[in-house]
Amino acid sequence: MTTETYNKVIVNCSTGEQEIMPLTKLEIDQVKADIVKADAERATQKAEEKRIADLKISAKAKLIAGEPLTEEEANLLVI
Amino acid sequence: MASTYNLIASYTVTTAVNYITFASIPSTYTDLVLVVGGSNTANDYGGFYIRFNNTDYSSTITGRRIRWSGSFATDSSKEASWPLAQYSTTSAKSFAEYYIPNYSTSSTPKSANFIGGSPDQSYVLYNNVWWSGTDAITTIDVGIYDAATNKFTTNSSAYLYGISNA
Repeated sequence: MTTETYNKVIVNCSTGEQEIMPLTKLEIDQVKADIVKADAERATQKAEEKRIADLKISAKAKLIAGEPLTEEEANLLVI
Repeated sequence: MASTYNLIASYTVTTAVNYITFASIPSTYTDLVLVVGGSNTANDYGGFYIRFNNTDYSSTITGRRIRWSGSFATDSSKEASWPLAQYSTTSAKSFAEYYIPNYSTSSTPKSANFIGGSPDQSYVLYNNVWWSGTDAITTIDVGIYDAATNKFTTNSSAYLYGISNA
């Protein structure tokens, strides 16, 4: 099992010095929290993308069959 | 109108880092331009973010995301809640350019115009961001926000330019 390392590089714009430093515990906690949050957002995004894609498939099928669309399906087709 | 871009500092990642910090930014310019070309290890989600003065100022983002297939736009949506760029592989980095006007003045909220995107994800984003902070900007953190390790991979790079608008 490998241990994840957390670090940052600081570029001093006045001197040009570059230094790689470990993150503080506070910064590491923030990174970990961000990862959890991003994972949740990613799941939400994927679900929404699939829902929209399914709506488009449904709308297309209804158009071909001459069936009425729902308002949400119609909104996808009208800008 | 912008005159010459002066390179203040740059960094190319040689060891994966969580973020790149430009510190001690001189106040001798009127505007800043930050150009980022980067990649991460997340497979399908993530983006760049910037933070001023080591402080998480509250922010407001407006803009659009355009997704295309082939040579034409097929979808667009409001981008308010999204990160600013998407994952891409090391061979096709995501890109971002931030224009940050009046960074060295105090007592006025800071803002940036942003354009960026990802070849892998077929996205182009353009946003305006407003931060609540009013302090002069002396430090900028550039980070990656994703669902993996939140790290820039090797060969990611960031360039900070100063512009003097007479």
